[in-house]
Amino acid sequence: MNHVPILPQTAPTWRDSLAPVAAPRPRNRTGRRRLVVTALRHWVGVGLAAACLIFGYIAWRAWNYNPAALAAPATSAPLREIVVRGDGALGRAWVERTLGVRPGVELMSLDLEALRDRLLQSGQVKVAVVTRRFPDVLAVTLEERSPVLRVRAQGDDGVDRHLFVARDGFVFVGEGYDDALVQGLPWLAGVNLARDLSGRGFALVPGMDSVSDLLGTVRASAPALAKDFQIVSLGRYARDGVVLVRTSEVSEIVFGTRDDFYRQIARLDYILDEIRARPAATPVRSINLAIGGRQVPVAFEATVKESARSGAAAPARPLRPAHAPATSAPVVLTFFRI
Amino acid sequence: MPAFSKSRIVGAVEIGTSKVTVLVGEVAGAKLSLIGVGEFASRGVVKGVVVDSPAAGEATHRALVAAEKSAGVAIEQVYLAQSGAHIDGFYHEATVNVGGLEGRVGQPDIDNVYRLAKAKAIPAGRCIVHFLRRPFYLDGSLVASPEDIRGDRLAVGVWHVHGDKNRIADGVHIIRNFNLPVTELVLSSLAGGNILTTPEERQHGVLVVDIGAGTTDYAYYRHGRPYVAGVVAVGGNHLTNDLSLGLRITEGQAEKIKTLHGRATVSAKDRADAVWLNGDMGIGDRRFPRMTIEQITTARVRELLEVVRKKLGNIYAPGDTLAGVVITGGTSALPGIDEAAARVFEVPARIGSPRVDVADKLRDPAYSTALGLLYQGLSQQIETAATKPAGFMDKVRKAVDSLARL
Repeated sequence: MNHVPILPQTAPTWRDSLAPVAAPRPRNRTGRRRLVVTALRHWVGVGLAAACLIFGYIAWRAWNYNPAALAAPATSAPLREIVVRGDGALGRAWVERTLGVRPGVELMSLDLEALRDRLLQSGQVKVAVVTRRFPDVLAVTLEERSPVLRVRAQGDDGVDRHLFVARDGFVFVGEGYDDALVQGLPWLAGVNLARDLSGRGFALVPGMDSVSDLLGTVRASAPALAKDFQIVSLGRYARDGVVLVRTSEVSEIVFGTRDDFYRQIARLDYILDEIRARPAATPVRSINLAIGGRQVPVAFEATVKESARSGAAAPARPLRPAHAPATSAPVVLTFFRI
Repeated sequence: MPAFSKSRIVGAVEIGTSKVTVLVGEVAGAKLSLIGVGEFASRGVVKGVVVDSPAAGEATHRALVAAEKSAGVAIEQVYLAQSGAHIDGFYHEATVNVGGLEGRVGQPDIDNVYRLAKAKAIPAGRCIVHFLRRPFYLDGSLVASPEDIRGDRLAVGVWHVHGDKNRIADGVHIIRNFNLPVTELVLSSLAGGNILTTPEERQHGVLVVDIGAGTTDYAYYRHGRPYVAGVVAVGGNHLTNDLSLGLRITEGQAEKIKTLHGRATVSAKDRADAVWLNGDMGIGDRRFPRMTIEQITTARVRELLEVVRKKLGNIYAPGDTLAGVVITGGTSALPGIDEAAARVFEVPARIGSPRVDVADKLRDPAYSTALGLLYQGLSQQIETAATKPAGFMDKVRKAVDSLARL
């Protein structure tokens, strides 16, 4: 008969006696740094392993229950709404009309490139972003050109119509603008609008950035003066680097594009105040702010008496028409010392 | 590269009385490589026992950092050398009647007798460091492996090496405070014995004496196995102390005199032969007879070796120690110490030199313990790597443990 001997226990080893304090906290900086690095390394390893396990399980489950789901493309619901976000006058109605997309069309079946091109055909739209927002929304974001000047020209159909010129010199047919805004825009003069190479639009108008800066400055610093700007001419922009402006009081104000517009407007304001303060107001023919220096030449229309004495013809308006030859009329030149 | 291969980085740490030595080894497959070494002057350790834990910890951690920097990798686990006057030992043996089939010894018989031999109570506050199993005896005859041999009574003896558990914990905690696990504690003398002696020498009988600064560790091998191992609380510092008292000089001066002029046997013939303390003929420089210095150191070395022989007791027999005595440790640099050992133990003696191919610097006897420790650690790593690879759950357990300690 086998019998199992009852053996006494062996004496405790150093491992047994140290077991209760098997994991003391490191007491110095080096030890703590080691512990942190070790812990991080272990946890990153465990985390990666766990992530792999979870991902593997999900993939296995998807494959096991519906292998086609892994290969099939995502499906979408029919289009429910077009969400429009823009920074100008064009609204949702214009976008829907331009896109021509009817509700109920499958969202995935829409050609976003083609839709974007439709929007960009309007020169008023500078940037258009068309995206799908799953499951059933088409999102359109528009960035529009702002009109700086207006001009009247023949469109593609041969009909005269209002066109607008943007800061980048782009000429476009505006839509959706408030009448007050349109009426407040000065006219462009002194340029011949040329067709672009495609023949569907106009070539860019040079110098519009300077005009935009000038109008922006005058609107910000002297709003009353800005409202009186009637015509802005770029006829001497290429040659002399100046912009000519006509107001109800002055036939021609010459702004230099190389000088600070703010300074020139401040001088103009001062000169106009001086002229208005004179007892016998004489029509001002021109104020040249482009010369610089401390003196500004101001030309007054000659009075009837002065004209008769000199035998000259009646004064002519220099800005109308832009292509007409310059007329010489008697003027009285005065220098305003600023 | 350690980061991408299955290699393990093992550190061997010896927190000695005079210095802390750390060696770093890499185990890659069956290949052992020594890849780094770090040293720092020890502080807070007296006679192999930690008396100032922060100071000892600081010195050890600096040595560990230096070793890791030298190796270019982080140590993963540590084999720690254990010494100190608190280490003691006793012998206990057991006998069982063979119960295997047809009177042949089976594995259960071997396990039972070994377990019985280990089952001896130790005093309170003590813990076992090593069980040194001696060869098996079957019906009174020594057998290398008793399994499947016919016999009636199987006997085995075990030398229990035990120490004060608080003192042992001090050393282990210094390593753990550096966020490193202590894989194994190895008695310094056994660690040195592994590297300084060959299996043949251990088979024929060899005594390894490691004379450190604060303690002297010894291990006596017979029949290829360690029979006795222990520690004597006398070391090279006692020679310095004796010189300091005998010549009335400071300990620093005595250490210098010991290193330059000390001997383990008296060789000076002329009493007029003298040495200078500083040698600069300045104020305070004195002359000492060389013979006096040698007499002091010789007497202390002889006494030290005799204490070791006395501790070995009857188990030591010159006739069973055919491979002689191997002296190692920092104090083995004392000239004539092999002669002194030969006289005391009545067998040939030599200065230990590692039996493996290492750099010249590491062949110094002062590194033999750390080298042996590393060798043992690396060998053990190869065995464990073959049996138990670390699994995913081990890593998770480690991660949880490290998080809990943050």
